Formats: sequence, C-alpha cells, structure tokens
Amino acid sequence: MSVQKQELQIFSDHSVLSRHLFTDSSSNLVLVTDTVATNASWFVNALVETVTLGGPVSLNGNNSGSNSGLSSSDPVKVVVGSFLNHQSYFTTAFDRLKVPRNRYNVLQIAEDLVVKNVGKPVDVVIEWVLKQFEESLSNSPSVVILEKPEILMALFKLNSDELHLKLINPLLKLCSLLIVVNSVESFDNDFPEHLGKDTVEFVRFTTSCFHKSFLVLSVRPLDTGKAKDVTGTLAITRGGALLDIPALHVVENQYLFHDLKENTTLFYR
Amino acid sequence: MSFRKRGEVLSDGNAARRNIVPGGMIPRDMPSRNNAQRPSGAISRGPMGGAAPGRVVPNIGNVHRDLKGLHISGRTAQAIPQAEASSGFSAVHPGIRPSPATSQQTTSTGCTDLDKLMGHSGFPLGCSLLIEEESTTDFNSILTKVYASQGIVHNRIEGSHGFKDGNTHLIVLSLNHHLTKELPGVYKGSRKDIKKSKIAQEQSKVTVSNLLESQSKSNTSAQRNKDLKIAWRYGMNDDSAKSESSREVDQSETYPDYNHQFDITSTLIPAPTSNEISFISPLLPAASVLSQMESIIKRHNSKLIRILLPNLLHPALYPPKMTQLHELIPLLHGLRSLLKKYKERCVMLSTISTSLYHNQPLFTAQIEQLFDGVIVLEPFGQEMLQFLERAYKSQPNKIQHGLVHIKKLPVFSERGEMHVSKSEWAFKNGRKRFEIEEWGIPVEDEDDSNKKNKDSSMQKARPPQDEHQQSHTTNLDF
Repeated sequence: MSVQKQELQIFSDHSVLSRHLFTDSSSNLVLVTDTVATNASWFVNALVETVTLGGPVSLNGNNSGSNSGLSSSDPVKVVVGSFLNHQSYFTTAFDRLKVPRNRYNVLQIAEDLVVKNVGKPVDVVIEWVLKQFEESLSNSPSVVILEKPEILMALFKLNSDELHLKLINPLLKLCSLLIVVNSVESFDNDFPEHLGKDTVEFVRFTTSCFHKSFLVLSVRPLDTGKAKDVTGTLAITRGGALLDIPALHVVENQYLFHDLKENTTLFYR
Repeated sequence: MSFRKRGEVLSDGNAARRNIVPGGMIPRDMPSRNNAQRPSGAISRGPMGGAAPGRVVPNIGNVHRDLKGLHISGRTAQAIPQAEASSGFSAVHPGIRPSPATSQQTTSTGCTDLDKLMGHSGFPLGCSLLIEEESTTDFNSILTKVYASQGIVHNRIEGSHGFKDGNTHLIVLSLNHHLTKELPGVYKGSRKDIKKSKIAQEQSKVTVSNLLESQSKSNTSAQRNKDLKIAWRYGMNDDSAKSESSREVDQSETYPDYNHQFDITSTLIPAPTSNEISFISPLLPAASVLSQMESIIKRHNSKLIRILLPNLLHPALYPPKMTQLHELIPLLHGLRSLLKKYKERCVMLSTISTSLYHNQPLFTAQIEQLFDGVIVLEPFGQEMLQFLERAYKSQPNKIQHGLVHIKKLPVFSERGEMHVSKSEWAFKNGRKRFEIEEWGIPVEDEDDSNKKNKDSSMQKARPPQDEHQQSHTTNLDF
C-alpha cells in the first residue's frame, strides 16, 4: 500500500519560508530542536535549499513541490556557523544538493575553537565569532544558521543570560532570520533543583530561545520507539514571540518523516 | 538475454579496465547504490566526507594479485604511487577497507561483532565512538584492549620492519602505562590447534627422523589417493558445505589482515614500544594535551592514528574538577576537532562508566554530543545471570553477560537516520572473543522437571499406607 507524501508547508501562504520575512528590516528567530537519535541535519539542508534553490527540492525523493515563497533569484544569502561541525561537513552536504557556492558561506568556527581560544576571555572569543559573521554578511537580506551555540556555555563557563546577551541578540540584529539549532536531548526528564548549575543553565538557554522565537521546529524520534518505515516526527509550532507581519502566521502541523540513505520523505500524521 | 559458454573469456582487457575504479578499487566490494554517478576516485559519501579523493583500497597486494589474472597489473602499479603522493598517509594499509554501506574507509575496532554492529564492518576513519557502561563492571576494558592490540598488530604485519616504521600508531590518553603489558595477544587457536602447529613446525625441520617419516609417507600416498577418490564420490571432500558464506570468505581473502581475533588470557609479545604507542596525561590542561597530540599525529604522518581514551572520568584516574562541564568539554571538543582535521587517518575510541552520572542526563548528553557513535553496555544483574545459568545449564557457552544498546552510529546518525536500539543485542565475553549477538530471552523448561522432581520426592517421602488413607478419607477440621 502506498502512503501519500506530504509537502512541507510552514506559513499560512503555503510556503516553507515566506518572502515577507525578508522584505522589511525586522529580524526574527527560529528555533530548531533535535536529539541524539534524530539529527536535524536533513531539515537544515532543506531550509538552505529553500533559500538558495527556491524550494526543499531534496525532500520526498527530489519530487518536492513545496512552495518556498522565495525564488532562487532572490538575493538572500545563507551564512552557517557551527560550534560542533566543521566546514567540510556542510560544504560536502551542500555540494551534494547542488547548492550554488556563491549563495552560502560556511564559517570555520568549530575548527580549533579550543586550541585557539582556550584561556582567552569569553568576550574576546564571542567578538571573534561575531566578527566572522559580520564579514560574511552583506546589507542584503540574509539567513544565519547557528548550530549548537550551547556548547559555548560548557566551553567557556558561560551562563544562559550571557550567551543570549553577547551572542544571540547581536547576531539577531545582523540578519533577517536567525535559525538556532539546539539539542534538547534529555530535556524530557524532570529537573530537580539539586541537579546543578550547569543543567539549570542549559535548560534556561533553550527555554529562553523558545520564548524569543516565533517558530519552533522540533525534530524528534517516535514516542513509541523504533519503526522501520518512520524515523520520527517534525512538529511545527509557534514560539513565544509574535511575528510582526500582517496576514502571515505559522501553521502548526506535525509531519512524520522517514530518513534513509540520505533521502527524507514526509508523510501525513 | 545472452548466454555464454563456461570456458569463454569474460571480456577483453579494455572491459576489465572499465570495471576498475582509478586508484585500484575493486568493483565487487563497492556498494551498488549510486555507483554510476559517483565520481571516479572519490569514494566518500555523506556529510562526513570520509576518504580523500584518489585513495586506493588497502591491501593492494591482493588486488594486484587479482588483477594480474586479468592482465592489467600495470595500471595498478601506476595508481599506487599517485595516491601515496597525494597524502603522506600510505594508502596501502592492511587494516583499512571500504565500508559496505557508505564506501567510506574503515578500520577494525579489534572486535568483529562490534565492527558489524556499527554497520560499516568497521570504524569509519575520522569518527569517534563512545562506549558507555552501566553498573560497576569493567567489560569495556576488554574492548579498549582489543582496540589497542589491533592497532599494534596492524603495525607489525609487515614483520620486524613494523617496529621501526610501521603503519599504525596508538595514542592513549591515560596515566596507566601498564596498559602496554596488559594487551591481549592474537588468538592462535585451541590447544589442539597449537599442538598441531607445533608438530607441523617440528616436521618441517630437516632432520633424519623427518626424512625417514617422509619416505614412509610416500609409500602410503597411493592408499591416500584411493581414499580421496572414494571421499569425492560421496561428496565428503566438498568445500561448499562449509558454513561461511561465499561473500564473507571473499572479504576475508581480500582483506586478510583487516581484523584479528584476540585471546584475552594471553599477552601481546613483545610489548609495544614507544614507536608504536604514545601516552599523554589527560590531566594536563586541554591546550597542552591537544598540542602534544597534534605533534604526535604530525610526527607519524604516514600512519593510521588510533586514539584511545579509556575510563573517562574514572574517579581513580581523574580529579573531581574534571566532572565539571567546563573542564571536560574543552578536552573532548579539541579531540573532536583534531579527529576531523586528520579525518583521513584518525579514529578515536573512548569508554566511560555512567553509573556515577546516571542522575545527570544532561551531563552525559553533552558528552555524547561530541562523539559520532555511542554504544551502551548494560551488564546483567545477579538474578538475571542466575536465570541464564539455569536456562543454559547444558550449554554454559551461551550465557550472555549483558545487553548492548545503540544510541547513535557513526555517519548514519549524522545524516538524520535513527539507529537507536534498546535491548536488541546482548554481549558475552569469552577467552577468545567478545561476542555481540541478537538478544532473546531463553526459555526455561525447568518448571516441568522441577514439578516432576518434587512429585517424585513427595512420593518417596510418603509411606504407601498414608497415601492409601489420603485417597479414601477426608480430614475434617472443627
């Protein structure tokens, strides 16, 4: 029995990323959460495709008919900065998806992050990170993808507020759309007070991101466990912030997805 | 549809050349998927990248031998120096083969079953694996030791030459320098096999008694031929009846030195030298550890580097301050960076006992995030072991020692595939192997036998008169 595939739609204008997000000078935050079991790399790739190629073409076996709301000629640039993965991780994936190299820029942040910066004051390190973003961003509308910024808290003994004030907020001002990819592994457990400061700060950072973002995209495994034909769920929900664009809102939805051998397929829930 | 006679030549030399991927790749070992689109020479797939372009399949000696049969050996001879020239790391490494799933270059962990569990028949280069162990047992040390031994054995494959130059180097982040004396040696077979090999060695020596024996044997050769003829008629000498599948045999023939079996009761002799193994104290500042490690990697620029981080956060080895995230994460993040920087020739294995951190899920989650693969060993409790001993009373070799859970697998999980499996696999540790097999709860048929035993014992204890009375009278209670 064949299962009907579903096209990815996030906004009320049936788009994945609406062009209205890039028309004015406002900046918006999107939170993408993943877990150890289900990495959100395929979804990040789909968002990059949407911005650069005009749609998430690799989804559903290269037969995606999703309307991105953006045409490939729109001058929206993608800048990717990861605190976990190296530049080659993204460039290899984007090359495979045939994303034009002039439409994106992957920063070398994770490379030698410890060797070059350990022992330095945290302000200097964050300034160095922000400078890299500034240099690669132009005045044109842009999307910044920031992967696993919470690692900075563990590396440089930062707390949640400092990370938001020093990195997230300044970065949000630099771009039209900031997509923060964060891991929520083990967040389902109860957190008693005795768990320690580190744990509290990690929870606070993610909770703050929930409140600041207008859209939360959650990639999770199935609650029922492992299945052969389904990898997990993609939940689209509104965040705590309001989207200041009239006649446009997030359509809350939940998809099932199956990821196998670099092919991702979305299904009706 | 075309038919070909059995004796007909398969193809001309040009056709054979078409089947050979530049760099000496053997087409039969390549996965079938997307073979046509893959650029020649570049065998990496997925975001990890994996192998460098122009790399050739290890064990070129066998490839060379195979290709000689096809009369195209000249081509491979040219390809090898080109690949070697492109990187300092020698492509002809006996312990490297392509993954059947992704065609990334992999090396063995030293445990065949663990290699299979990871889905690549090995450990993809540039990847790291964390083995977590619940409870206070120490099964993970077996895996670390065979991992270390495998590296040393790879290094010594080329004979005494390996001690000087070698092809593999092991870096251990530990203060326990005695590890070199605890590494298991290669399993040489059962006692019978060892005796047989000793006898064969003795017989191969040129002595008067051996010469006399060989003369007597030649007289009996005619009888032997007759026996063989009879055996052939009855199919007794048929090799196809062997249990191993043809593919496995083919793989082991193509990569004979890819992995070895280790006997944990023996010791690797001679013990590894400083040219084969380097120790770095993990208690040094992270920057110092990383700079030392990078200098070692650069020094051994033509070798496969196997990094080992055993007993991470063990209270006897690490001070309490290391259990703070801002002390530990810089070290692990830096190691990950080095691993990815030298991904063409580095792998890393680490083990941790999570019993001390089971109430800190976020702490372990942060550690797991920095590894490409995470596997959990959950040893059975005493009750379960007793149950298994009862169930496998007649087959003690089948008793498993614990469960194996998979949290994530190298390369696959990075793509977004979900490979979490809980209680699907079980492990058992033996003298000659650390086995991982599918877990199934054994059926205990002891209840019936117990009942029978009880009934029979009751009958024996009860005098026959009482039995007669019980069957015909009722006890009335007032």
